[in-house]
Amino acid sequence: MQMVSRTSKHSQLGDVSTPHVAGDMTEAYIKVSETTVSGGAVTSVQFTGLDLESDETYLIYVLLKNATASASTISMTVNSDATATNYYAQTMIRSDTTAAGNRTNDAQIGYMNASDFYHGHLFVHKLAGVNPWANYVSCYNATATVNVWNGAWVHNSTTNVTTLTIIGSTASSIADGSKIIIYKLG
Amino acid sequence: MVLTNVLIVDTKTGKQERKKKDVTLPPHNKPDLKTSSGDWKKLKTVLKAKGIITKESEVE
Repeated sequence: MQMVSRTSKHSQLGDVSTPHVAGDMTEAYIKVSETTVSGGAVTSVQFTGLDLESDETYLIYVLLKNATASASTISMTVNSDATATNYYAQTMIRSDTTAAGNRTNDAQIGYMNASDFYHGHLFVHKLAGVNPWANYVSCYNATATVNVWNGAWVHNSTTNVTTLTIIGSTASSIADGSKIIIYKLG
Repeated sequence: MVLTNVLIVDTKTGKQERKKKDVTLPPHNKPDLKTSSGDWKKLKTVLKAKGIITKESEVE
């Protein structure tokens, strides 16, 4: 188990004079998965075996490199539902001195320029009987003008989330070396 | 649908598998920094529908 932060016990786990016990880790973000793409670019990375209602919150770091010479909008879908109209998204994008808000129907979490990168961190939440939500902050455009894209979406089903898929709008845009790390709130 | 490479990760076992699958690509939404709301997009659509402009790019 690896932790990010939050309330820890046993002197914040820095005390190694005695072994840590399971109880020391009960108030922490616990790593569920760390995946690095290799063997060639892919269009999507799908995570199965999740249980969002039980875990309630996932913290996800998404670090992507664009393998193509085309831009790619990055989305994160739930339970393999690729129907864009089942998601309600609100975004705010800033570039230099310009800011713009948009309301769309999709599961977008950001954007990659051609041959560029995407860096985002997301929280995904769900309680039983309630729709799943995602909120995120991401950045792109590796030039003097850093673009910041943050927003949220909600899915229209209250079904438990067991699968999350990070997917680009351009086929094979997720390059080797891209990394996705998922933590749950233990 | 496009037939493309995907990576599937089973978070229970840690097993990773690459597959060729038919995938529905999500919408490509280029960030629109020229507008501050959907109203501008609607206006362009109306102007085009009424024949006032022939292409939405005329009022970019």
